[in-house]
Order: sequence, then C-alpha cells, then structure tokens
Amino acid sequence: MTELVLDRVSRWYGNVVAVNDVTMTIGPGVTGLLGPNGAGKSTLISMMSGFLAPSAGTVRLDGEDVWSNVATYSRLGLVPEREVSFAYLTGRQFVQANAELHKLRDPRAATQRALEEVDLVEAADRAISTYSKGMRQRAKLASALVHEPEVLLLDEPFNGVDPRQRMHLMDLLTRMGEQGRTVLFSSHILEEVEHIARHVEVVVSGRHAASGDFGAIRRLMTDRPTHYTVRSSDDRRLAAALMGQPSVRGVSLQAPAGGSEVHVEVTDMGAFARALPTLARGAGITVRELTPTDESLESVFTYLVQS
Amino acid sequence: MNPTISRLALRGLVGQRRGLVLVALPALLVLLAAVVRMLTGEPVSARLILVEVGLAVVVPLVALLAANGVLGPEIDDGSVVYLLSTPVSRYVVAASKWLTAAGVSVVLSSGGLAGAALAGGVSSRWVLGSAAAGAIGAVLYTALFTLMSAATRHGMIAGLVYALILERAMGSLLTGIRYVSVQSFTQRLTEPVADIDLPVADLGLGYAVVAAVVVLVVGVGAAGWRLQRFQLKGDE
Repeated sequence: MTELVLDRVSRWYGNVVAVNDVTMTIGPGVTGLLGPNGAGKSTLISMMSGFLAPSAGTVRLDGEDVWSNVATYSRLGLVPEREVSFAYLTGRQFVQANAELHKLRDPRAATQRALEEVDLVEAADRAISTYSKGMRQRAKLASALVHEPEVLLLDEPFNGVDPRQRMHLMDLLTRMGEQGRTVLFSSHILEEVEHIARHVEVVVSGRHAASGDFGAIRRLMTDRPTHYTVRSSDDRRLAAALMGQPSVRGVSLQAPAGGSEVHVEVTDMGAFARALPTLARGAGITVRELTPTDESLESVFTYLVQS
Repeated sequence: MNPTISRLALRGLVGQRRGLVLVALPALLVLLAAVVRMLTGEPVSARLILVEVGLAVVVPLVALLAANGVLGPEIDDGSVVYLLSTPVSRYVVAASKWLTAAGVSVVLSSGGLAGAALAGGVSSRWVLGSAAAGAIGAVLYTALFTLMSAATRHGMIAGLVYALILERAMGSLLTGIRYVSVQSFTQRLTEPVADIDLPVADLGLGYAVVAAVVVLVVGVGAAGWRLQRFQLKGDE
C-alpha cells in the first residue's frame, strides 16, 4: 500500500511561514486538499512531489525522502498548476516525450493508452497552443499518467476548466482512486472536493485545520452559525421578534452612520430563511435588505479551525 | 546525454523567434564583412571584423541566446518541472541542454565567422582559424551561460554583464581580467590549432587548457547541481 507521509512539516520563506507543522498521511483513494487561496496548498504539493525542501520535518513516500529524489518519479506523477511551455508540441508529442523520459519499453503504446484514458485521442495531433484550458489539463494529466504511477498529485486541476470537462476529469480521478492509486488534488472549491473525495485534508493559513471523512467536515461547515445584516422599516421591533425564533442564536441592534440595522446570528439557515418573511409580514414590518456577512470560504475555514 | 531532452531543447530554440535572432547575428557579421570589402575594394581587416566584432561580440551573444534559450524560459515560468518530474538525472538534463546549445552555437558561430572571413576576402588561414575560434568559443561560452541560466532568473542579464562589461569594457583596462575571460582562453587555445595572428593576451597555454576544462566541467556540472536543487515555489 503506497503512502505519502508528511511528518511535522513546516516551510517558511524568511519571516513568512507558508506551511506550519503539518502532519498527514495520504493513502490509496482520492484525497482532497482543501483550503482557501494562499492557504499553503501549492507549497504542500511542491513538498510532496519533491520539488521543495521542507524547512523542518520530513516528506516520505513509503519511507523514502522525496526531496530532490529523482527515483521517486518512477512511482509518482505530478500535474502542476503551471501551464505547459512546450505549446509548440502536439499533445501526442508532449506525452510521448514524457514516456521516453521514463524509459518505458514501448513509449508509443503507453502514449496512446494515456491519451485514451483522458479522452484526448482526437485532438492528440494538434499543437497544444490550439487547446482549450480543459484539453491542456488533460494533456498534462496524460503526461503524468503515462508511466502508470502509484501516486498522482494534482494542483488545482479544475481551475478554468468548463463544467463538461470538469465532470470528465472528476470521473477520471474517481476511477483512478477506485483502481487503488493514491490520488491527491488541491482545490479551494468545496463542491469540487465533495464530488470526488471521500477523504479531505483542510489547510488554512498554512495550518492543518481538519482531516477526515468529507461528510463529517461538510456537516461542520453547514451547521456553523452564520451572520446576517437586516435593514427594515422598524429594526427595533424586528430584532425583538427575531429573538423569539429557534433558528436565531443572537440579535444585536446596531446604529451605523445614517440609520440602524439588525445583526443576526443564525444556527439554521434554512429555518431562518423560511421564518423571516412570515414573521415580518405578521408584524407589519417591511424588510428592505438582507445581507449575509460571512459567506466567504475563508470564514467557513476559519470556523473549522476554531471548532 | 538524453536525446529526448536535446530534441525538445532544439525545437524550443530553433522553432521560436529566438531562432531568427540567433541566425541574424552571424548573418549580419557576414553582411558587414561583405559591405566593408565592397566599399573599400580591399580585403577586410581580419583583426577588426573577425576578432573585435566576430569573436568578441557575435560568438558570446550567440552562445548566450542559445544557452539561455534552452533553459532560461523553462526555469522562469517553472515549466521545467515537466522535464524534472522524471527519473532522468538532473546532471543528464543539464548536459543534454548544454550539448544542444553548444551544437547550435558551434554551427552558427563557426559558420558565421568563416562566412565573414570568406566574404571579407581574407586568406584561407583566417577562414579556418576563425572557424576554429568560433567553435572553441561557442563550446566554452555555452557552458558558462548554461550555468548562469540555471543559477539565476536573470541569466541573460548576467551573461551580458559578463561578456560585454567584464570582458569587453573592463578587459581592456584591467589586464588581470584575462585570467577569468573565456575570450582570452578561446584566443589562446585557437592560436596553436590555427596559424593566425590573434591578439592573444599574456596567458600560458597550460593555464588556458586547464581554465577551459574548468569552465566546461564546472559550468555543466554546477548547472546540473542547480537543477538537482530546483524548487517549485507556489504562487501563494
């Protein structure tokens, strides 16, 4: 069983800490590395793929250090976020070059198989410069898969890919996970991870925030209290009425310059959304504005770290 | 030497705009020699056209463009990771890249200098001698510039500073520069193999041989070491 083990890994650049004391084990199946932009996901993937030395700690593939260890690449495939600069090559030439560099017995056959796997055979003899973003991603994936690696690392593979190609890539990764390969991909989009990864590693601000089954983490995310700002024709009365709602945990009446508003902390978004119009109509209050104040992914992750 | 890496490097070099500039430099030298000869009606000054312009400017610039072209852009944009995430030794990657750059430079520098000598109407000794000097210079300069391209994102600037400021400008003022000048090594090594009158600095042949070997081994070896330590830093 192939395992990629990060043991108390940190990476800093001068005074800036990009990754802070992360310990995780990536095993067979699909693992999602989830975190907001700037969380340290790419830095972690660079270290996992042997392209960045940890400032502290170790990254090992089945007990072997991966940093600067070229032998690792016989077992590991990497799909970096960076674009291919060999855009003057055709997809087939690009993938076959990689097959040759891996010294495969029959590079031509391996190339054909990899192109078929990512469904790029039809466009394989066109220059990469003519490819769409999704096709480029598939060409990169075919190149990383050509030597049938046990471990596949993908950095934001769905960025800029249209929905149809995204589904195709997702199916492909799911299939590879089912084949028993160790597949890890990074993403800052919850729904992408939800779709294919059973196991999730969450990183926030360089720290390992959560780890485990996606369902449990998803429940934590949806059950978290959320905050809204409400402006109405009578904020004081609305605040009093809202406090009686079971879905509301706290209410405060604020007075910013030029008016007032109600800040509401909600524990059940669905119940609150259903209750507010009924409650307002019953009390004869007109709701003029309803704004969620912490819907950003960053706030979701911050909540996860605190919980 | 890895043929796949060399093939990719060659395609990247000659298939881009850089390839046109690479060919333009020696072509301009040939044109210059032909025009000077036509205007004066006499053979050109070999020392001025072939040594001062050809060997001192065209050869290092061609080597710089070639060496930087096979490695610099890939390191700049990080896409060298596609070549490095394979079980090929990083020293083999560096050597293959250098060999490609050296091969292209030898053909263009040697051919350009010999063509200029022919167009300038100088003796056949000069034709052969300048071709030899072009080849020796191309091999040594590309080794040095391959290292610079691997070591810094500003390999092109570092190469220009070396060739035009250190060797050309400061070399004429400070005689000690000859001990670290590829130009001096090239001229000193060319003299015994081609019977031409080069403005060879006061430099022992033994020193020039050792220095040339050091430039080759350290240049290519250190470029490999640098690739061995290549770090892919996240955009974060």
